[in-house]
This record gives sequence, structure tokens and C-alpha cells, in this order.
Amino acid sequence: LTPASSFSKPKVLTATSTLKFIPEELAVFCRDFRLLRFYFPENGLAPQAFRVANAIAQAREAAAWLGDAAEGHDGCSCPGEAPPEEEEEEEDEEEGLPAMLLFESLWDWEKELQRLGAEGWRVSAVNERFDMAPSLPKYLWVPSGLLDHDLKRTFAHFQERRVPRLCWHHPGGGHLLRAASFHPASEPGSEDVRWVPGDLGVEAEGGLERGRPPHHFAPSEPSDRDLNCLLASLVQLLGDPHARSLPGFQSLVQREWVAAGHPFPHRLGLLRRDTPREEAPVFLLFLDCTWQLLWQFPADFGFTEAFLLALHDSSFSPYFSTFRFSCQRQRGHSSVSQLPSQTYRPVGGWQHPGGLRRDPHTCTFPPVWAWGRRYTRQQQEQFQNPVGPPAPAEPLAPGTVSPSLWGGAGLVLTLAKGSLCPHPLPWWSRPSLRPPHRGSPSESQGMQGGLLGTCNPPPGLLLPCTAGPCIRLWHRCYLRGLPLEQ
Amino acid sequence: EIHIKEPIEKEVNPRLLPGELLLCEASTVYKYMQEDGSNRGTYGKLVCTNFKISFLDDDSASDDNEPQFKNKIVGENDITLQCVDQIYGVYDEKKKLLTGQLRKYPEKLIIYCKDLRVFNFCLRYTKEEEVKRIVSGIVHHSQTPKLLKRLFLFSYASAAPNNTDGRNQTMMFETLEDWRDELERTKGNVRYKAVTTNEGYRVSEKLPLYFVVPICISEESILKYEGRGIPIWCWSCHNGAALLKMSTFPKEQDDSTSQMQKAFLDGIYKTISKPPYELLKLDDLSSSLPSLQDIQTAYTRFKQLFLIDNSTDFWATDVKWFSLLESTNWLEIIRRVLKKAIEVAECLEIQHTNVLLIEESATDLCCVISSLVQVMMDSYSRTKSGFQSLIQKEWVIGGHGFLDRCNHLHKSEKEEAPVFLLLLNCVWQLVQQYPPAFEFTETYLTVLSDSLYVPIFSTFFFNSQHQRDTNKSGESLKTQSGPFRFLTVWDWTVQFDPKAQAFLNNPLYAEKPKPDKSQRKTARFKHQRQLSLPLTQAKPSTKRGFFREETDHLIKNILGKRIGKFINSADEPPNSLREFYDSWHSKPVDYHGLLLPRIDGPEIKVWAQRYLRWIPEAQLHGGGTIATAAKILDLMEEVQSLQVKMDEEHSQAVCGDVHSVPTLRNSARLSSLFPFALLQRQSIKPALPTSTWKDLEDEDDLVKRDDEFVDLSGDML
Repeated sequence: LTPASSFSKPKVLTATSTLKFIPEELAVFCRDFRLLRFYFPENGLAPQAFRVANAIAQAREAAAWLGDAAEGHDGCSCPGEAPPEEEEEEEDEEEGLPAMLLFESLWDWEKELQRLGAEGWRVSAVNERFDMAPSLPKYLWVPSGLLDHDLKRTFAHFQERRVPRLCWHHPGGGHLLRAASFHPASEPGSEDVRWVPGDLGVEAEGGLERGRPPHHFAPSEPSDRDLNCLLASLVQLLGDPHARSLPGFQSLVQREWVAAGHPFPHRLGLLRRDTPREEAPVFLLFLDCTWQLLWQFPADFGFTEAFLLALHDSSFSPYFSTFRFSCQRQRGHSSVSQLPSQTYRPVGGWQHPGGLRRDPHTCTFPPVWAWGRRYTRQQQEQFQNPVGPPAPAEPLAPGTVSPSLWGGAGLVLTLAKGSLCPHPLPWWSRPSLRPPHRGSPSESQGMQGGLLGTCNPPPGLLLPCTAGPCIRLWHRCYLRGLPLEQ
Repeated sequence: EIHIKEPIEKEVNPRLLPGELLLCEASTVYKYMQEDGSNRGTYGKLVCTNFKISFLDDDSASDDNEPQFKNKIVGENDITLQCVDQIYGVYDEKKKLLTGQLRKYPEKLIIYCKDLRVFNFCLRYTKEEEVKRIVSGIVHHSQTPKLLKRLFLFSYASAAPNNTDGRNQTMMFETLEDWRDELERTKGNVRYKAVTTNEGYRVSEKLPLYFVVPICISEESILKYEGRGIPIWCWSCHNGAALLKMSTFPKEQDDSTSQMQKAFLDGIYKTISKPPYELLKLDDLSSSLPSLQDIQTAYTRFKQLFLIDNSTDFWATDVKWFSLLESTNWLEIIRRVLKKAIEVAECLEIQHTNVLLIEESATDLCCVISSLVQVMMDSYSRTKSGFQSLIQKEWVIGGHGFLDRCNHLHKSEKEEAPVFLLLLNCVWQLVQQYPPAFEFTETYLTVLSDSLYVPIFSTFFFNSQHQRDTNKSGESLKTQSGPFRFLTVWDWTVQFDPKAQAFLNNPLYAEKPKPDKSQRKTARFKHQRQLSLPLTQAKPSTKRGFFREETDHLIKNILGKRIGKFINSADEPPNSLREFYDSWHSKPVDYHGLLLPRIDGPEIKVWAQRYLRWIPEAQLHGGGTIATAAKILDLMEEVQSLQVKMDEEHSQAVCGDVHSVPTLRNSARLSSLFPFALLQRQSIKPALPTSTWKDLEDEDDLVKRDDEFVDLSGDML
């Protein structure tokens, strides 16, 4: 990250590396693709140049260590705190912006579930103290018929105790679920996990709109903390117009990444201690995918490239709670145990316009969504897409497409190794727990027949083109460092 | 009303243009919608005329859903004979190129078009007799050498009464007057003059009737080598520096001749590099740019990426898309051409030197570079009429050999090279980088590129003004009354009705603020010059001053003259060009001033509209640039209706300034292929590559499929 060059011979600087020469120039390669070059003139500055270069290298290392060992420690010096009062007011003025959800409170989960119109699902607070699954959020969406008592027994069967839970409900009746893969030690036939198949119901992006009985789709990767985040959120971007609005997108990231326990510090490489193998730009990959969609469907998004860039760059910023922790528990925990003095401080400047009830125990770092911290009002205005949908997308009206029309226990599809597989779950043999569906086969046949020949996807659904000519380089992101691209 | 499919063949007759003759036809030909193995398609009649190949399906008579953007001359299922690129026959699943005489007749015919459409016709159900006639007819008329006089252009011109006045804003440069106007417009008339030396083509048949040379050039020297070695004026920059072109002498074996030619050239250089003329820089394009052969090879490979037989092929090549694209080298050629144009612009703008482009005939790459430089430096060339005048000046009258380069007559493939397409591709890069700077849209460029193959316009069907003039008189056809009156492509009403024409105008064009009415002169074609170039005010830094002095000094020392030379990229001062480029890009863009294209690798893009418009796999439902454009057009419409209301309020006479705006409001979600490929869309089904979807299959009736692809359209919501 910080190579220094001496007579055109560059050397990469780390904290432990010793500089055997006096650097002539310091080149800082930034994560946001800027390249800063500092030239040290020779008139007397030489020793300082040496010291400055070393200091920068060590500071960088130290910052990373600190961040890991005591996430939150440097929060004391966080320049983002105690913001001026006007800022708060500014935030409040933004009335046009419907509230985004942080998914830290029960209320948020309830509200979103309501918006989705997912009947047959409820919010469970079984993990409220993070004792069931440390990396999962406090609240989970689970089938209504499943008692917490039974639910508790399923945790052990999944890796990292990450049980299947609802991500998104399609108005057509399909459900998107996510879960970690089966724990190797668990017994597939065990009664404890029997609930899973019957109530699972999801389809993949393409499958979602096909008018067949809903396919239940559960992305599955061993840990459920990386590619599942990516997939679950991309599917929602394609299928849910609300997710393509600015507050909707922020809520989506908050739920599928932040609350779901994507290990940001490890993946973004914010920790030095980690082996580089832990580093993987999964979230940045998601931003790039989102940009591809935005580029392909400029009129369907409420936000702009500028917004994505701001998010991209903010992911490296130490000032925001959003990307500093690996899960909700850690986020809450660190502020409680390490910053007792701040625990009961009134929550700084950032109060959500929607007046969300925020847990007083959550960290006092502002979330990244407090854009007023880093961006001026003008800059924030550029986050809004002028040619986007006229108003923030209407919530999907439950019942626009009657879920009962196709009803039926469809397939459960699981994504494994990049392909959708039918019934890979060992407990599939069990018959459906659902009530008999009302929609007759002929009805659904008729539906299909009527749709035959129409080629336009239903309103709200985006079908991106994955062909080579349609995939572009996000040059405003990656090429920002080139002097000519500014 | 009930539609009953009539099994009896309806008599469908082709719509013929004046002078168009039906040559052969075949019935019960099956046209595949899209060769994807599904065998869906329509039966109809395949006809071949002296103008086009046309497929008439049974529904073609009833035009229920008229597309919004329709070409009046060339329909959706029409292929003009000049538009045919290659014809393949399929024999027992094997493809074979059809060129001349055929011994066996194929069961399937695949026609690849120069506008990148692909047609698949099945002849299995056609009578053998008809198959023979239609296949040999099509191959003969579209693929074998032809006489110029057999071009449809002439039949059309003699049969169609050409009533169009032709008086549009475009300067045709056929008269001395036009050249003088252009000289005056660019303030080049102090040092350059329009000459009549070539009247009667006594200098050269390759040169236009009138052209412009430096004032000091004498008539004798023009006549001496048929105009070779004479700097011919293209354009003058606001600071007086001019862009010139010159055709060179052919390589001479004879030493004394070449000595004389060298002396002649030296004399010319000496005259025109003396004051009042600026320093002169020579640029031999044949050594500094790719050869025509390279360009042709690159384009041949490039277009192959888009001439897709079927879905399977598309997805098969898609895996390697990026490396295939790279290997064609086409984008790299575009980049080099743009870079050269920037170099020339820098010399004119910053160094105040004249630039003399040198090429053997001065009608190929010279045209590309000089046109590009003018598009970049002269905002008039970025208006529709200005661009059209530019094409007339540099290409049509300038003597670009369209007939040979497009191989319209199938005379020699060696001469073929997509030089004009290269220009359009380069201009497109500018259009997509700076949309508000152009009065026209990319659709305009696409349509213009298609017009290269429509032989009812004379514009792109002659090699030179001389060839056109001699053939125009109709002397060989004594029976004909009077000379032919050809149409020009610039009369867009011939191809498009006003509604469709609206797609050619850029609604977001940042029109130049009109000067005060009191100051405006009423002279015809008085084009306001734009002098506010961003760099003219910039004070040159000490560093750049140093560089300039040094290089000037160097040049003087080496050549002992006031002549510079682009030698090799290694020898030229690289810093000055880079600095020019960087400094321009660091400032806000003035859409009426100098415009420099970005030429860094990722900025050079594939002209998606032209090349992908017929490929359903590459389309986006409700996406693409049209999604934004549709919103803007809606807004425009609203603004206009408000404007009308306001005018009514003020009881002012509504002036005819209101452009018609295409109405897209009713169309819900447009495809990115819009406005092309409208009808095909209805049968399009998105197919997803097998790799991802293989495992979808289940014992349930997930997908009934007989090919490798999952058909999602049938039961898509």
C-alpha cells in the first residue's frame, strides 16, 4: 500500500520493513484507487522524509491491529462523533426520503415482514441474546407454525448454528431463504429439522417469474456469510423494486450483509493479523454487480453511480459502524464492554429521520448511512437518480399476484456449486405441512397459457443480460486513479 | 373480428419502387424467426429484384403493429443487393459459401448482411425448380461482378421523378460558391483560394471540379503532376493554421524522375512554409496509421462476432467474448485513429502549425483524419447539416472511392476497406462520450451507416465527382431523356417519415446560444464560428514553453527549413501531446469548443447499437440507454406542451421552432434494441446458458426442452 521509491527503484513499505535509503518520493496506493505521490525535496527534509515514511507505514499497521483487538477503542478519537446540531436538523429535513431500516430492532423486522406480505412467517426473538447463534442477528424470520422451543433445537444442525430463515417473499408466493450448510455432525433424519422442507418456499431469480408452482430456493454455502449475502441481495435487487430505491437498497445491505453477519473486517482486509486468505472483496463484488444492473437499467434505480461510489469508498472508512464489525453481536458487544462511558450517552448526531427506536447499547459509531458526515448536501443530491422511478417504489402490494394461485408445495431448490439443484436436502422426503392449495392445476395452466408469447418480463422484474458485450468495466470506480479519468 | 389462417397461399406481391423489376421468386419458403433449434418461423415468398432480396410472409400485407421507427425504402425483411455480405448454403448440416456457379442446390440459405442482420431461409418445402431459380438468382445478382450502369441507382433515377428540391442545409460542394462560403466561414480566404483549374477535369479525374489551394500555388504546378504534390486545403482553424492534404507520387523506378519530383516538392514546401503561412508539419499517414489492409482484416474479424447464426453459437462464443474482441484489433485501430486526430489538433491549436496529411491518393485515411479533426475542433461539424456538409466536402466530393471501398460492384476484394465505417465508429466514440455536443444521435450514425448500402442515393455509389458527372449525363443511354437526377442521402424524408426522423435528433443537444439578432447577418450559410476554445486562454507554463522552443530549434537544425515532420512516435515530443490532452481533460468541457476524445483503453467501446441491435441475447428489457432517453423525451414533450401553452397565453405566434419529439409514452418498457429489431422481439425468448441451468431439470415437468437451452419465454410471467 505504501511503496516508496528511491531513484526510480520502488520498495514496498511495511511496518517491519527497514528503509535502507532515504526516500525520494512516497507513493500511496489507496483502496479507492487513488494514487497519491509525495515528493520529498532534498533541501534539509531528508531525515524527516525517512521518519514520515516509516511513521505512515507503522501507523497503518497499528490502526489495523487496533481495529481488530478492540474494535471501538479508537472510537474515542473518532472524528465523526459529537456532530454539530445543525447536521441533525438537516437529516430531519429530508422528509421525502422514506425511512430505511437498520434491522436492529424488533420493530424493523416486523415492519419489513409486513411490507413483504409474507403470510405464514413471523419474527422470532429466540436469538435476542445471541446465545443461539452468535453470528446471526437478534431477530429471525421463521415459519409461524414453528415454536421457538422447536426452533431452538435446529440450531445445532447447521454450521455456525445458522439456521434457515426467510430473506424475501415474492408476491407470487415464492420464498427466498438462506442457511448455512448442514453440520457434518448432525443427523439428517432427526426430528429437529423436519420443519425445514415443508415451509421452505423459494425460487431463484429466473424461476421466480415463471408461473410454475413456486420453487423454494435456498442458497447454500457452508458458512452462509459470504456468497449467500451476495446472492440473496442480488435476487432481491432483480425482483423487488423497493430494493432499487435508495432507502430500500440501504435496508437491503443492512439486512443481508450487516445484520446477517458478513465478516466485513476480514473480507475487506481491514485487519492486519488475518492471513490474506481471509480477504475477499465479496461486498465490493456486490457493488460492482449492482453497478452492472444500474448501467443496464438506468431508469429502474432510485440511486446513482455516485451513491455506489460513496458506499464503495466508505467501506474502508474507520468512522462507521457498518463495516467495522463481523456481526450484530460484535457490534453491540464492543460498545457495551469497551466503551462503558459512551454506552448511555445520547446517540450522537445520527438519528434516523424515521425516528427508529435504536437500541441504546449499539455502537456509537454512526452507520455509513449517515451520509451527512462525509458528503455535502449537493453531493447527496447526486445520489438520487433523476431518471429513476418517479417516486420511491411502492411496496409490493401483497396479493397483487395471489400467492394461493399457484400455491402448492413446489420444489425446494438449493444453490450448490453454482447450480440450482432440486431436493438436495436430506429431509426432503417428508410431505408438505402446508394446507392444501386452493389453486387448481387448470388455473395455473391457464395462467401460463395467457403469458405465453409475451416476452416482456413482468413489471418490477429485471432480467439482466449476462452476455459478454453487456458486462462492462466500472471505469468510474476503478479508473479514478488515472490522472486522465478525473 | 376473427382471424382465420388461410391455408391457401395468398397472393402477396412485393412492394416495388419505381424502376424496380421482379427477377425471380420462390414460394413456400420458410423463414426462421431465429435459428435456435426451435424451428419456429413463417412461410412466405422469397423474391429477388434488381434492388433487393425480399421475404414476404403471409402477414406482411396487414401491418397491425407498425413500428415506430420504420425505413420507408428498406423494410424489415428486405435486403438490398448491396447489403448482402455473404451467402451460405447448408447441405446436410454443412455450411458452404455460395459465390458463383452452383452445381447443387442447398436446403437452407443463410444470408449475412452488411448491416449485421442474419437471415435463415429453409428451402426444403419449395419446388426444386424454384429453388434453382431463386438461389442462383440471388447469388448472381448480389455476389457477382456488376457494371456500374447496372446499379439500381440508374433504373431508379430514370423511373422516379425526382421532385425533391434538394435544397437542404447541407452544402454539397459541387459549386465554386460552396467552397468560397466554406473559406469565408473558416476565415481561410486570406491565404487560400478556390480554383477552377479542374473544370472539364483537365487536371485529374480524381480531383473534384473545384478545390482550394494556397494562394501562392500556380496553375502550372497544379497541372504539372495531375494535382499530385499539391497541398489541398481541408479546413482552417480559428488561429489561421490550416489542415491540408496531399497525394504523393507513385514510387518511381526512374531516378531522374524521382529527382525532379523531389525538387518539385521541395519547391512547394518552401513556398507554403514562408510567411504568411505557418510552420508546416508533414504527416505521412501511410506510415503512421494502420494500412487499409489491416483495417479490412480487423473489421472482417470484428463483424464476425456479431453475425451470429443462432443462440447456440452466441453462447458458445460468449465465453470468450472479451478475448475475441481484443483479438480483432478493431477497437485498437479506432484508438490509434483518434490519437492521430488529437495529435493533429494539438499542432493546429497549440503549435499554430499547418498540418499536411500525406497519403498516396489522399482519399482514404486523409478523409478519416481530416473529418475527425474538424468534428473535434469545429462545432459546426457537430450539427447535422454541418456533419453532412463535412461528409460531402471530405468524402463525396473529396473523392473517396466508395464504390471500390464498399465493393459495391464486386469487382475486386482487394480494394475493399471499411474506411467510412471507421470514421463513423470514431465519431460514435465522441458522440457517446459527449452527447450534448452533438445535434445528432447515435441512431443517426447507425442509419447513415446503413444508407451505405441503399442504391437509390448517389452519395455512396461513385468513386469520384468525375465518375458521377460523366455517368449522370446519360450519354450512353441515348434514349433517356436528359441527365439523371439522383437523390442524395441527406434528404432523410426519402427514408423516414417525420416521426421516425425525430430519432435522429438529439433532444439534449446543447444548442449554441444564438447571437443577438441585431448582429446577425442575413447572408446565406453564414455559420457562426466558435472561437472560445478552452486552451486559447490558458497561459502556457514555463515548462511547455521550454519544450516548444527546444523542439522547434531541433526541427530547424535538422531540416534547415521551417518544416517539421512527424517522424516516429519515439522522436516526437511526447510530453507536449500528453500535456495538451491532460490539460484539456482537466478543464470543464465546452460543448461548442474543442472536443478531445478520451482514448484510454476502457473508454473505447463497441458501438452497441449498430453491432448488437439484431442480437436478442444481448438485449435488455426496459434497460439500456433508451431507458434514459425515453424519460428525457417524456420530459421534452412536457416542456414543449407547456411552451405551447405559454405562447398561447401571450398570444404570440408559435414559430416553427418546435421539433417533433418521438412519443414513447405509450410503450411501456422498451428494449435496449429500440428502435431497431422491433418485430423480432415478439418471438424472442431469453435463453440462459446451459452451464448455470443444467441442474434445473427435475422429474417434475420443469422444462420441456429438446435443445441445450432453457426456454423461459413460454411460461414467463
